Amino acid sequence: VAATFPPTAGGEPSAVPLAGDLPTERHRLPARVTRYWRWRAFYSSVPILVLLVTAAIVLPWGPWWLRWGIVGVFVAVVAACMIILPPIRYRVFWYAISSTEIDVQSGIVFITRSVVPMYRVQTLLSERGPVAGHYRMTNLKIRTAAGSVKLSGLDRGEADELCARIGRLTDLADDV
Amino acid sequence: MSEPLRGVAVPDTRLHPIYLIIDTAKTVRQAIPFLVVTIFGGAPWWVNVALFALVMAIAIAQWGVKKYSVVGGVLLVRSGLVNRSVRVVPITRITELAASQSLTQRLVGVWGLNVRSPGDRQGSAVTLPCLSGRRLDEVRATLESSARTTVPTNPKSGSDPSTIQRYLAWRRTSVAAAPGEGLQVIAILTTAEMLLAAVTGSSILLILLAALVVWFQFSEYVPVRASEFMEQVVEPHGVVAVLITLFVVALAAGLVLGGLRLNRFTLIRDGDVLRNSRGLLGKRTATIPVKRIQAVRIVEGFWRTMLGYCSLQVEVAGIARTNASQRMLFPLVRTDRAESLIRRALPELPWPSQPLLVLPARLHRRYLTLPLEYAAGFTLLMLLLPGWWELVAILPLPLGYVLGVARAREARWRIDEESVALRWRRLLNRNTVIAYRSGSQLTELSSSPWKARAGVAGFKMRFSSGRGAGIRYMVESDALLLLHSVGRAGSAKVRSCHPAS
Repeated sequence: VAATFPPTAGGEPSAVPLAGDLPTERHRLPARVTRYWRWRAFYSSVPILVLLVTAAIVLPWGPWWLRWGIVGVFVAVVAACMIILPPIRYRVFWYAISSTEIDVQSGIVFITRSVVPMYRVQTLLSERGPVAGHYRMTNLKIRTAAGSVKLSGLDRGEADELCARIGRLTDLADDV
Repeated sequence: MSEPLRGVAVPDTRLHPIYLIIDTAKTVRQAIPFLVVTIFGGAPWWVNVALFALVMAIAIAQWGVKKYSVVGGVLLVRSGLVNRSVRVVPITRITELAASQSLTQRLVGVWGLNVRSPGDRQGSAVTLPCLSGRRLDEVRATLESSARTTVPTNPKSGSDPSTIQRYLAWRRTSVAAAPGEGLQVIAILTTAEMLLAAVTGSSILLILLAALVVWFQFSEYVPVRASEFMEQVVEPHGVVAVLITLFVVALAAGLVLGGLRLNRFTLIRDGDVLRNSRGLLGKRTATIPVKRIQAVRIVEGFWRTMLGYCSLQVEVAGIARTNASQRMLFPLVRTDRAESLIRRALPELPWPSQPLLVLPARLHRRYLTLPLEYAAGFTLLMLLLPGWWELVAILPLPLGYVLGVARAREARWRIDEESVALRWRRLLNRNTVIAYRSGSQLTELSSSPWKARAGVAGFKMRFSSGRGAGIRYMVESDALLLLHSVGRAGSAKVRSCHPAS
């Protein structure tokens, strides 16, 4: 995604820059978030892995190589998710906050840059599971009436500060 | 936004006593399995009497505790016998008041009122199921008066009848015959248009699919006379005769449903609200505050495009995403008259000052990728069909190509001082959204390494109705222009809206 707003034919910027247009304003997640994402992917896959292994042992369906092949493919996908994807996701992700909007870029191959006007924020939801707690991480969901933007893997202190800041900035009347 | 009403605007009030009968009937309906067991199980008569008395007692108790009030700028609804609940809806968050009358309610002369608010996409924030006409007017006038815009449409409103007087005039008279007194009838759906809307809508296709499934899979459950007719008269003439018969049945059912739903659809502009009324047996009316409308959507379906018609919808927070009839502005209008109808109904909506911009030709081939990928998948699946059916596999790729070309050629956009307009084709429908620049809740720019290398990006804006509008591939700098200009409060005016390509 282009870093800054493009000039028009006259060479002038035609709108106020967004918070994330300036690279210095972009915040990245702490480096340990990749470890958190890896373990979260592992723990999330365990129940399905157990189910597949149990099915491969117990169910008399198809030849043995097909049953264990499915398990093998699943393990390979989980391994790829644990090893390859977190560093790419970490490099792509950034967020920037100004007094008027929240600018977030996320994705892995398909990258989405989302802009949430501050006065459209309806609720903030912060979640912290046992894995996130171990790494002192918090997942923050910024909700509007149309959908939400997720900041996954914020430092706990940073998340608290962000919640307080957005809470202050969104104390405005919405006209939905 | 006007100051919300403070103090007690409507004191604690119970629903109309007729609610007792409606609630009892509802409870009896729910208790049918139990009643079947007691009646046919040979229970003594007094058991059934005691059960009925219990049902009545519960209904009376529920009626007794269910109260609504408007206090301090919020609508409060208290209910529940064991689990007490209080629903609080700030009046400033109300997006639509929809009054309705089912056949039963019409017979006993009461109304239901649905109060909708943002983020409540599946239904209503609050439902008041039984209000007398007087109470309905009182509640609506109270809720509407504080939800109005600060700038009245008619500056001479002091000499005009009050909102409630105008509303009463509208509700109790023939809409078509009483356009005066501040009410402006924008359009009335004629019977021919209603039939055309029913024929070109999606309901006939859905009914036909249901009929095909029922006849070919569950024919034993079809009523005996219909089954005999099909087996003795239609089936001897072959499969085509069966298909034609089922199509005729679907057509008739679709026309009846369309008639029940859209009969005399009337769109009225009443000051700063839009009202519509429709329905044959059950009359439905809806009120939409104009200031809550974030965008208007022109939907040109396949058959309607062929005939030069389209339908108009509005994007309003809290109006159900899945229910097309709730977001209907007008169900059928000639495409060349759509703009004038919207301008009359919503003169506040900024309309693009210049024609929409087409996409540069170099982007067109990108629109082929996705349809052709899907088409290739369908082709592979269809090659597995038995016998001559395998030949159907020649269709998906040409159709995918046509769809890709149509999507590329029809995609348009325009942004100016106050409005943003996007046009795109999904599958059969072509959508054009005209929105306030600040009307969206969330904007997104989508990219990928391949798109970035070619200087291409996608843009999408989402409304509080839960729906969105977007263009999948456009010049990256144009998408960035939209990202920087749409939905932002107090952003600088766009000085240029020329494509960067």
